Amino acid sequence: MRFERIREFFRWFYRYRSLRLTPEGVRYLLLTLAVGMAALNTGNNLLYLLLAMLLSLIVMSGILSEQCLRHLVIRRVIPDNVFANSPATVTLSIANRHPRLPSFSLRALDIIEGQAVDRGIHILHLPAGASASSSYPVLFTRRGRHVIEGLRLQTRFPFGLFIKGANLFLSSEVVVYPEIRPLPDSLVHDLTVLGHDQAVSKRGPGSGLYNLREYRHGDDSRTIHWKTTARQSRLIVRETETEDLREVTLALPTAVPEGRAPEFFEQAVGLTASLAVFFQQQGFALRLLVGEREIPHGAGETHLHRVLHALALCEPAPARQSDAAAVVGFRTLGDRTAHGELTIVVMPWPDPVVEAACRGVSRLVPAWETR
Amino acid sequence: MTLERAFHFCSLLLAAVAFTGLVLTGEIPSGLAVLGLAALAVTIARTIGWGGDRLVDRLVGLPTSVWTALLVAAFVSFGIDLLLISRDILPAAVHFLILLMVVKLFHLRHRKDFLQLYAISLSELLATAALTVDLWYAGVFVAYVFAAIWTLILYHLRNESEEAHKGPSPIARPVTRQFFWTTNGIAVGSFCLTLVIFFLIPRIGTGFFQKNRTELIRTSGFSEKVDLGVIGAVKLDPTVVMRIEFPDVRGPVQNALYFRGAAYDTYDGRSWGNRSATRRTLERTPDGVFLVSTPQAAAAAESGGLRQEILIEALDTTVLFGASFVESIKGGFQIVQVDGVGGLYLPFPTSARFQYSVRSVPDRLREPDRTTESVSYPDLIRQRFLQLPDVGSRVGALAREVAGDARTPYERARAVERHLQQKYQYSLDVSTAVSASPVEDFLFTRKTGYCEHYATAMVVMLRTLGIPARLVTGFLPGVWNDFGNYYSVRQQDAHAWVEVYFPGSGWVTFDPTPSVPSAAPSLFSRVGKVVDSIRLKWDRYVVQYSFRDQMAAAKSLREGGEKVRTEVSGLLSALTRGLASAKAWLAGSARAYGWILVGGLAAGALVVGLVLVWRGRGGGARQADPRTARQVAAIQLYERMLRILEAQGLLKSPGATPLEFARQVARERGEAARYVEPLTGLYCRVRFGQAPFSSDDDRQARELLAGLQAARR
Repeated sequence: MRFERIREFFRWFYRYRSLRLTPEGVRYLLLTLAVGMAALNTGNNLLYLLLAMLLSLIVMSGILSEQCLRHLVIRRVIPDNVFANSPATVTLSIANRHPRLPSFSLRALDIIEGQAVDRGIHILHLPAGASASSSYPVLFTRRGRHVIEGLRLQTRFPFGLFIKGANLFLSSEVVVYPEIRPLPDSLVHDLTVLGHDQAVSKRGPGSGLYNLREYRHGDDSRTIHWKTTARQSRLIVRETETEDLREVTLALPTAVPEGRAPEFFEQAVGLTASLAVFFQQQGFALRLLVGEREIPHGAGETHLHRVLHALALCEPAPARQSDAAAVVGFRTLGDRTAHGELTIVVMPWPDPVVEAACRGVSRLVPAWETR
Repeated sequence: MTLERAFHFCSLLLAAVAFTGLVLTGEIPSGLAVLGLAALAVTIARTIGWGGDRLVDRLVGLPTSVWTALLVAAFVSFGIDLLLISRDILPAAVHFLILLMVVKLFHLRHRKDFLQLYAISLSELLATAALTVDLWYAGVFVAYVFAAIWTLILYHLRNESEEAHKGPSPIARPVTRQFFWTTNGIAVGSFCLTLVIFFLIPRIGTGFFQKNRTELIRTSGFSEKVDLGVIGAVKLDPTVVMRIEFPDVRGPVQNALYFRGAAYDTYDGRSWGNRSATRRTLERTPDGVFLVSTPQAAAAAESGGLRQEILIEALDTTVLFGASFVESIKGGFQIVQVDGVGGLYLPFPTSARFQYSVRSVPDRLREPDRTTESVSYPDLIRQRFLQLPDVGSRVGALAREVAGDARTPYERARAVERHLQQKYQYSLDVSTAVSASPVEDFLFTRKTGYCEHYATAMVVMLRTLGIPARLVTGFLPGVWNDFGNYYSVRQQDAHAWVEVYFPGSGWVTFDPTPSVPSAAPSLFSRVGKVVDSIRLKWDRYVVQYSFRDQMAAAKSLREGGEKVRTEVSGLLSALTRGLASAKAWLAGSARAYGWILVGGLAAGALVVGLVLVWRGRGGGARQADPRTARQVAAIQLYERMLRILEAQGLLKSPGATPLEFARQVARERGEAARYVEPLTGLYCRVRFGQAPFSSDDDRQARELLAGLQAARR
């Protein structure tokens, strides 16, 4: 108990700074001890002088290493979109704001869950007023919210006897999206076919060809199709097919039926995220239904990240019999399919309730079968 | 110089400094000293590019088995040395260390090799500290601190570079001016801190296992039996035997001083001896003072005595010296003995220099003794101090003749003293060959001699006149050192004089030796005084520094603190009073000249505001040098090239680019182009193209510069 209190005191005392001996430092301390013993035994003042020199180097080590760690301004930049199991590049910039004195031998370590993680960042010399940037890859193996609690700067300057660390509260939070994996070919084929079958062509802004017609007053001259115009000797314009109608709803139930383990949930989340990316690339307007949460239709990168963000943070929850809200959203999927929308439900586990609610959807994809 | 080369150089310099310390102790056999110095010279010369490459490369290239065999041989030699040659652990260990250092100097391959060399150098410095206490150690120590700081910093940077590059990585960056001064600043800071720590470490050392190897200084004239002529042998020896300070006196003491050592009562015609050699131990007071005379006399001495602080070297005699006549003595010793003629002794000689305090009362002749014609001496005095060998009748006749019509013993003694001072010549050029009657030789034949002859002749002459006298040996004060405020007493200041007994006054000092004019102080002697003063301080504050000094320092600090507190308190109250009167004055002025006050304050605020704005805009801020270290190195080299060319008459115009200038050089001085063009190319690549600047580039650039320098018109 007392030992714990002492440890706690030291932890509190060293909350901003830490000190560790290097192998050279251990030898140096042993040597200092030996010289001290010799001085004590002999009473020879010249040995005391040597002892004082050895001790002064220890004190100078402390002063100079502290100087190296002061007046540093640090910025950590983490990319916005980080996917699980996919390396992302974090940039760390360190600026020395001291007007005159440089810093030497700096190493930067991230502190994650209380543990220092060496990122291999090593700055040998940072002159006064200068700054240095260094990038390093990070790999998160799990989706969800991750926190890099702080940063530890270390230096062995000036003599390499001690490693002095400065703990900086440079907290960074990152939401890691689910891992994106290539979809099985059979599934891609099915989805492509489904997309064509359920697509209802309509004129509107888009990239695909919808129709060619004669030029009317007021048409944008940029839409004139010159080849056809030349062939027919009259102005023909090109009409495009609107993409608004290429809508898809991805649904992922999160309520775990009683007696069932959510062992395929992560796989289902990953599959849903991969499908989201796939449909976004295909130009679909994407809607996500994850548990009770709904993200309405939208397109573009920003919308995709909103979807991925929701998928990154979703968690399975035990199903409650009285709570019908969990499947309310799923009940409308059949109607949406009837109106030409593509609806895909990724099943993390066999669940008759959900399956009953999802009658009429375009496709039910069991996650446990896409391993 | 690149950091890599500086690292190698500093590592070798560290070893060289420590080894120099060992050599200076004089305890190293000359063969080993030459071997060590040669190894250091060759390796340092190779590092700084002065040659020796082939030899060192050949040695470095030897297989590891050879080095292992050499190490084993060194260890075996250590065993032999310990058991058969030195028969002492310290000299044998020192010899072993030197052999290890030589082997290591040619085998510096890995990080651990350098660490081992540093450990060897520190061990050498430790051994030096055990073998000497001389002043030169201070110089070696300071040099070692500087070399150690440089070496450790460069070692660290090299390691960091290796770790950053995941492998051996020589540091090609140059030693910039900033790095140079920063490192030296760290060294100065470390040295100052060393001094602070040195004085603060509690001295609780007992010295149980200390073996002091200080060589004892041989003295003459203080043994139980002293042959006539022994002092002459040391009269040209400038070895310092003691230094004497007078805490209560500023400047040199005006009275004639005689630092009394031994006294002798019996003369056998050729040598002096002491019949009352039996010594008794002096009583020690609770505060460590040994009273030579009665407590009453000592109490009287407290008021009118002369206090001396004596730092005495390790002498081969146990005699304790002090100005005539010693009343009390205090030092770090437990026992002091006194013999029948007032000589003070330690029970055994000390092996190291030591310090003690003495309080003396000068002799004083009382008026009755000056005027009384017929004196009766106590029996004991007459038996011991009127003894005479067979010196012949001529001496007695001369004494009576010299005494002439002097009526009192005092006048007779002064007459003999005066006669000897005036009629005889001082000379050290006196044969020490055995003479049947040295006193007669001196008085009637040679008529030249030195202190012993004069003093012996006076004692013998006085005794023939029935006046008790004895011969005393000791030292004259020597030379006054203005820089340290002390007398520096050397062997050559050894002296013999006479003490004459008067019943009312006791023993009174007479000196028949004529004074020898001292040489005019030269620059050399002044420098010598400064060095000696530093040596005294070194001894006092470093070598002899003790727990007692620490306590004294603490006490004076406390007293100083109290004084400062009192002064600060007085200052604060004065300040408070001043502020109160200033406030009253301001209030009065504001009433009278309010608008001037407001205007002044507004102007002051405006000035302060402007200064702040200027500073905020970075008006006073320094701009950091955006150039990299290698660019700086390239610029330095290029500027050196421009200086060489300028000295040779080729000046680069400010508007010319480096390449234009190189073409100009080629046009105007074709032979210089082969140096200038590659240098310019290197400069442009490194400065403007961010190209690397390796140690090979650095070496090549320096060779080109040397070639350009040599290729003068």
